[in-house]
Amino acid sequence: MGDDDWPLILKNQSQYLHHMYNVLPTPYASQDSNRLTLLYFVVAGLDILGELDRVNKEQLVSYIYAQQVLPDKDDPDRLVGNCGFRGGSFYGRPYNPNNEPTSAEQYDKSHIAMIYTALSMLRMCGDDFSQVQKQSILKAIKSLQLPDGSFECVHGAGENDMRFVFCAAASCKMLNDFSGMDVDLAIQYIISSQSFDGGIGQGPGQESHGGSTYCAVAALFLMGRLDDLPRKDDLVKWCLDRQVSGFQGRSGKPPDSCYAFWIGCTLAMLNAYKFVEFPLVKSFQCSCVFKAGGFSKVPNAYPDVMHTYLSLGGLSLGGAQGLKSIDPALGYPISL
Amino acid sequence: MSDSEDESDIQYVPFNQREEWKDVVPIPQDDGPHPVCVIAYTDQFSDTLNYFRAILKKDERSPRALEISKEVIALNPANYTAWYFRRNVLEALKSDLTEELAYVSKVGNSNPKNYQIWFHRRWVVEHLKDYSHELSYCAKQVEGDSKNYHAWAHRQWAIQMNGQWEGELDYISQLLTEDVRNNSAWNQRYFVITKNRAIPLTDDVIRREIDYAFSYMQKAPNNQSSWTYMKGLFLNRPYNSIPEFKQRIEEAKSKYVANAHAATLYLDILEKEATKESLEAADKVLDDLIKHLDTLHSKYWIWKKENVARLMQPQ
Repeated sequence: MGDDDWPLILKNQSQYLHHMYNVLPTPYASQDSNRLTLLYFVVAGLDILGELDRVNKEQLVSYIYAQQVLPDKDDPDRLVGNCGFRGGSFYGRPYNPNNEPTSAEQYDKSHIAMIYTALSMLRMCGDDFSQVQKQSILKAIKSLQLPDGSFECVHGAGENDMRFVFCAAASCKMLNDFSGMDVDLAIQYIISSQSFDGGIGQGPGQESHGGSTYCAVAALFLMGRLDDLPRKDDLVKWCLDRQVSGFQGRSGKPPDSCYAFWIGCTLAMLNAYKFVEFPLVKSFQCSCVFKAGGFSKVPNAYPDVMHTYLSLGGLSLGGAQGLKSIDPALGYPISL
Repeated sequence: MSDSEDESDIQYVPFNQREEWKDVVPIPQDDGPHPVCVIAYTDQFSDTLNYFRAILKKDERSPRALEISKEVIALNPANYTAWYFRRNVLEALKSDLTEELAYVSKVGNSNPKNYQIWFHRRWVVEHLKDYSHELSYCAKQVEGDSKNYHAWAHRQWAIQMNGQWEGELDYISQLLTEDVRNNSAWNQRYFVITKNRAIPLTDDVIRREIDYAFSYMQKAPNNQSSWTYMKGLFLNRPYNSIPEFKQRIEEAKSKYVANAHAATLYLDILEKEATKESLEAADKVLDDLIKHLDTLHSKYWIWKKENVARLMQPQ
């Protein structure tokens, strides 16, 4: 689709996202355990299009709160590492949107990306966090931090890398309380993950990558410590080198629509988005539009909700019409 | 279960028809009256998860619990709860982890980019205290996808746990011979020369690496990786620590006339030298970059040119 079809493109995105908001097709079952992240992409996508007012926000907020993993009603420190938000309802708790007290259960575990996406969606809906179990969540986040400064995603049960450093920092920022993190230790992890080429990998020694670079820079930004990162010039150059038409995620790979967001937001936080050739980005993103709605990762492929929101986010950064501005560090649209 | 048996080979039988599950009361998912992003589960998916939820609630660590975790994983290999539960059951049953390694390898082959599978693999390998299969497993994944991020991360982990540095540089050369543009392989080389304590970064080693980078660069001068690698060698040392390097790059820049990477590296050398002459030369290189070598980034180079001009002004 050419960029002159822009209004039609936006209309198709809106239709696609409203549809996904109701039903996700069967192939999404393999992402059942991170369903809340799928909901996040749909909600943020609707919000960026100015369409979030068309959903029933009360029901949405209820559904999100029903995924909160509550502290144990008798001993809030028991299994506190599980507190936060679930990836979805697959554990099997009775629906509990008002967060009536419950007993903690071993396998009912929060995932740090769900804490981030739940809090983000609550914010987008204008919720005041009055039902958020702030103290338990902060304790849970703290329990996820490892000796090397990184965070695991699920207490005692998941991998650790830069994605979850970001989720921790963003969650603490939204809760307005960094006692859930050893900030200096997290920063050490980030700095030691900066590659020789200036970009940042998922961990020390690993290849620099657009996703982990975003997570690292956004985490530093949210912790107010961006100046702690050495070689910022190299980092800016590395990011700009990722623009080949659209953006690639790593040197030598084909462009992928989601990197307009990951690399774009990173450049915005570093005050360097002005160096991007936006018309080329817009062209590439438009080539990833799926005729029936949604954006795919590359041209002529099936769309998915993640690439849809991140494409729109990446387009918003360059000032494309009809899209709300986004907060590049938190990742979702700014409320007015 | 035998090696040749596969979840997909076994015909799915609804749980209420399985004799050995008669005592279990399935637990359905409860999404409330106004669910959102409802996934169109198949009957098999809902059925299997309903019975799994019941087993989880009881924390039943039995052979059938191990079996159902496998079925859940086959339907959703990213289900971190299923994997966590499975690890608990394996420990309780004192299961043979060699078999588990074979299982996680098979599931990994079908889902090479799944985080939970790689994490489970680490757990198995750590418990077995056997890292001997890891390099070949990673190599197999890389053969299928030369830039599989998980495979490279796992490879680095295995090498560091086991001290298996020997042969790694040769392996990297093999990959670069196949595809000189493989940035993951270049990154791995940097990893080896900087993390392997047995290779101190002496001037001789740096020279050897510069020669190495040059030889591969010549096969694809427009690919950035070899140039970035060369620059990376000087991360913790000044360019003039290898006096002939500047001239080598200057010559490369003259030879590869339309090459932005050679010019960019030469520019960095000139900027860091920071003399009146070097900055004047830098200014000329910037003009070349802006006008024809790297027009895509001209806005950035124009900004750089302004910075250099500021540095050239008398104090």
